[in-house]
Amino acid sequence: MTDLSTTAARGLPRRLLNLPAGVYVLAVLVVVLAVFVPRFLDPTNLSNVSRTAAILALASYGQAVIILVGGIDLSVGSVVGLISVVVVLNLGLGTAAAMAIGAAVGVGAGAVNGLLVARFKMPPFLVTLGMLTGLHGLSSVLVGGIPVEAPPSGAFSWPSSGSIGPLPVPLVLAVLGFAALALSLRFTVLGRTWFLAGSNPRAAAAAGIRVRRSVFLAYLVGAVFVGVAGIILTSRVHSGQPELFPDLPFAAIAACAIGGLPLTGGDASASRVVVGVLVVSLAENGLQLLDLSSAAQLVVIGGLTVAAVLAQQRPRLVRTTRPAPAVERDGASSALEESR
Amino acid sequence: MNRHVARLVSRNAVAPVCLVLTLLYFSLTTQGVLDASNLLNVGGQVAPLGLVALGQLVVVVTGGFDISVGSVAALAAIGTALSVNAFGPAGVVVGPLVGLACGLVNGIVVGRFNIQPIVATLGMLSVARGLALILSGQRVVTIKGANPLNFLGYGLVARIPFGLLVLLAVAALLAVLLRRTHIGRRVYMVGSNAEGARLSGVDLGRTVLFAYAASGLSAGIAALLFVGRAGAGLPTEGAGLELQAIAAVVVGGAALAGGIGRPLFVLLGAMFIQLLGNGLNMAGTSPFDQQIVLGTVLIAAGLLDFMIRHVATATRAQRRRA
Repeated sequence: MTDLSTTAARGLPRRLLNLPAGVYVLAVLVVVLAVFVPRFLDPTNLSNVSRTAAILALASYGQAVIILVGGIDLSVGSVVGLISVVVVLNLGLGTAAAMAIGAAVGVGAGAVNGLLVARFKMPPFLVTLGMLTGLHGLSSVLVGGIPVEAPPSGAFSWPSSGSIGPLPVPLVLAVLGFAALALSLRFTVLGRTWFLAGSNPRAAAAAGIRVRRSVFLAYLVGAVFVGVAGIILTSRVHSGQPELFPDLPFAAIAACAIGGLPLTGGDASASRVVVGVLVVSLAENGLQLLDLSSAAQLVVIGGLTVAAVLAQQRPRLVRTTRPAPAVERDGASSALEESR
Repeated sequence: MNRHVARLVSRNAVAPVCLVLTLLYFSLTTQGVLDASNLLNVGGQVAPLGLVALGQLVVVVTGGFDISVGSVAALAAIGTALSVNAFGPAGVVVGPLVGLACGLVNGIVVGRFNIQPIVATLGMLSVARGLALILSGQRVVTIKGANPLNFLGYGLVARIPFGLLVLLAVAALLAVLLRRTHIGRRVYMVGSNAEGARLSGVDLGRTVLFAYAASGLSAGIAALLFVGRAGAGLPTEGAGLELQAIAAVVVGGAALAGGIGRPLFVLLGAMFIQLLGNGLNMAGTSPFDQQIVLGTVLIAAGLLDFMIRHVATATRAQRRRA
């Protein structure tokens, strides 16, 4: 198997074949959009897409770190809503301070998620589902159920519509986030422990890795990315609203899945996340330019997500013997033993 | 000593204890919650949630979950309303059929193609919601003339809501199915040890397909109850239903890791969730506070699960030493 794949990696055509499936989906998508959608390659449109994609990218980086350790975070939609509410309610302290408080609240929510998952061994799905509901309720209570407008100010709209030189601020933040994620996944001790904790927690623990701490910090780092995304979103809508972006976790999970991250954990890379983010954002943009109804967009995006993930699974179906997913099996049987 | 504690806090105790505590709390604080008429009312309302939670249970026991049930119920409700308007009362079969079809698609994608349940059912969640909105033209589809499902929504048999009776019948049927039939036992085998089940000749794909089909079908039947109550199909029906269903399953003592869970306790879990919502409503609590309560309940149920596992492990260790 290893010999085959090393020879397969030789030569350009072979190397092309070994690219993640998401890259092909992206390539086809770009060609289709460029040919069939008139205003797609317009510089204004591309700049708009970059601002939207940047937000999804930051949220997806956070999701990727959590998926890497075998978790999942469904709460990010409510967390960004809470961030926006907290920012707008604290504007009296100054824009920068309010935004810092908002981001800190987001990180706090991530810490609660991480604590419950890592310390109390609760299923991440359940924890973040609870936080999804609870935090949405909390932010709605804080503003009495109606969005609170923020007084217009240049500083407030800078994170979403400002520019540094020719580059939109969200894009700069997304690129910085990309670098931070790529470097920490590859070169930091913490990043490496995430891979081990995600692929085989028992072996990681046996090798002396503090798995609980590693998982907790994954949720914390993930929340930092979500915090930045929340600030950009708040600045974009210029208000505090609980319903800021309820579908954000699903879009981020879809981006990670399309990029080829196994949702069972143990593998991730920043560039594959970006591929997934671009597929989701460009598809959405194309459908909007084509004036498709939001209902039709739902159908297409949902179908595209499953299709893109199916495209990655195909090669595995060809294999005659299915390799047993060792981690999953261990996890399942130990959970059963514990619960008996 | 510890053994008695372990027996007391067995996972099956969670739902009944929660239910009794809620009843006790509301009987002390809020007038009217414990009235027979209100309780029967809650019994009628709980039917859709209970059905969907039972379907969800089958999927959870295999180690997966189905977050598409709310959207599927909406699509099935729209389908039912449209077909009743087109073909008369016989059109009601469309609801369960639509639900079953969606469930089969989920089951094939998860079971045959090994796609993560969350991706597969997430895709179905947005596709079904989108189709419901498109088919209905984003409007409520009202049933013209007499609603053939009226009795399902409002009918009483000896003062007991007919919907509740349907729910109880389905729960009993599912309990027998899971306990006594081959496919039912396979569901538990796959959930507790997939590799072991495969090695002993269980067709994993087919078992998973059965589970998601059951979940889809239950969402389709729940859609009939929605149409029966509303006299119309709403494209926005069932938003957040998956969340409540999963909460009911977890409170009902099922393990999200798979392999464990019993229909009758999930039924109690669903009644607890419904009663909590009803009681908070009658106490005049805002829907937002109710969300906070529901979220807290979910996480508390998870914490309780952790404690149960903890005590159980400690008891086992003690027994081994003795």
